[in-house]
Amino acid sequence: MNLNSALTVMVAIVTLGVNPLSARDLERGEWSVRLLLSSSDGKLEDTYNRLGQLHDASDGFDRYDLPELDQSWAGTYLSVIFYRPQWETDRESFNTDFHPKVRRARDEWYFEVRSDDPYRELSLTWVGKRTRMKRMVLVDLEESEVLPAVIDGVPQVYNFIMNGPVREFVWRVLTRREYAEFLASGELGTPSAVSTSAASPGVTASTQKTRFRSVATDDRTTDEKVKRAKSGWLPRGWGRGEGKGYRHSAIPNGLPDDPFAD
Amino acid sequence: MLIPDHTFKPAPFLGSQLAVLLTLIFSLAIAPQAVAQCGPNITLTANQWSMVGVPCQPGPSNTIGDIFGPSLNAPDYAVTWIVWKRIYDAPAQCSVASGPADCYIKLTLTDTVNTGDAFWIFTTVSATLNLSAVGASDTPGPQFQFPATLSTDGSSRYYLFANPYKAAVTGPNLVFPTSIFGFFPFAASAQQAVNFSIISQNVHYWNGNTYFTQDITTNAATFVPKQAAWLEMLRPNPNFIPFSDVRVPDPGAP
Repeated sequence: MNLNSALTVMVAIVTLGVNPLSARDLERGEWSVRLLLSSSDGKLEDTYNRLGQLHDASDGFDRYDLPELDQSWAGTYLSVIFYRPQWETDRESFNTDFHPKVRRARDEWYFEVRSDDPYRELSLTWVGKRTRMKRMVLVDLEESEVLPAVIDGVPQVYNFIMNGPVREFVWRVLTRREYAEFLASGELGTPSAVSTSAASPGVTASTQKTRFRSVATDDRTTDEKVKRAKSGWLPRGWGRGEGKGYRHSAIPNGLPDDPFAD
Repeated sequence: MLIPDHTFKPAPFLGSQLAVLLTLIFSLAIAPQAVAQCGPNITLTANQWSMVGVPCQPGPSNTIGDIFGPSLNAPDYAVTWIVWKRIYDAPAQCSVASGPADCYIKLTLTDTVNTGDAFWIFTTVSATLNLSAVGASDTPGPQFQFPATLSTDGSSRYYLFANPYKAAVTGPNLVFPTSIFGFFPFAASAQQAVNFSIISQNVHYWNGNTYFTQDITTNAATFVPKQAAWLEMLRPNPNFIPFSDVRVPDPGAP
């Protein structure tokens, strides 16, 4: 065996020892949810963000967390991002966020919707294993709304209007006790002014509006953490690509606002 | 007495076959040849930036006007549509310290286009991009070498990558030829290239209103003809891996 062959074998051995990276098939006990955001006129969408739990993922940055380039340089943009500026020095926004698999414990993912139009009408829904999503809720932090992920096995749709260029949400996995409290709040299934509907065409589900009650009051730590993360990071000129909060990539800032400009 | 009629009168069934045959011969001999397409067409949405790549081999008429003009109407260039290109960083990496447009140049109708080139196109009118000036059968050979080089500093070196072939290519199809310690040729797979920090696992796609990311080591990282995506070249240990290329094998090769 010559040296070249030996090196090839060495490299192959090194490679064999590395687990496949993100987007691999889910193993038993693992799960993921994909968020689907679209504008009401159907012209804009972001259907690429995933969250979930994997056996070998970590709470912080890991190889399953794929960064997402900034899009605010574009005149028109709409995006879901996992904003995690503390993870890496030159990455702020992420396309995916996977946590380690935990059983019967609360878990949550903070994410944002960003839109150049601060009054854009949007729909947010999701796909995933429906039985897994039974104890999951979407929390609109701005409106303090809590929406069950599924009702009668049907994924829900959250329709909302942006009120500014950023809207913050939390995707939360409830414990059994929290879920019981959530059900006992008595508001599950109460029709309301918030327009939510079944994700699957032709399937009827009752509209929902649930105030952020027991879940919220038990979760001061999380909300405070969210506020801490929010405060101070929005740079001046946000939405025009001027903030220092933007990553230093040559790509997102590279194209001009006026494509035809000299 | 009946006189046989020797005038040729084909039976009705035979006559219809003959008509079809004549029509076929006529269409092959006289009608203009259908324009060969290189991969499926893509649609450019109005008032959005699109990342576009050029597959197959452009012929001798290979300017921006020749390649994109038939789909976007060449006389309207710089009025309803415009093409920008990323500057590739020789010798230094492009940065945006002095202004947002430093890494890009606006092209003219007479700038040339080659296989595997990738562009940003902005159009105010929705259009179907068929690249009719690019032949479907003219591939750039069995092994296309994409002109990317390793990062020279601590940050990623971005390349707007376009599939040079008419069939889709996935991340695991890519090969990263290198030389270990500068002496031993080695063709790294995508997974090995990520492990050795030749390239980031992240492939960045643009859908018109947002970026999204796929893992280059999985088939989710698909490169469709006429579309482009960002590759991130990194900086491995220069003693171990002093250089690396990005090679794209022809997906249609046996």
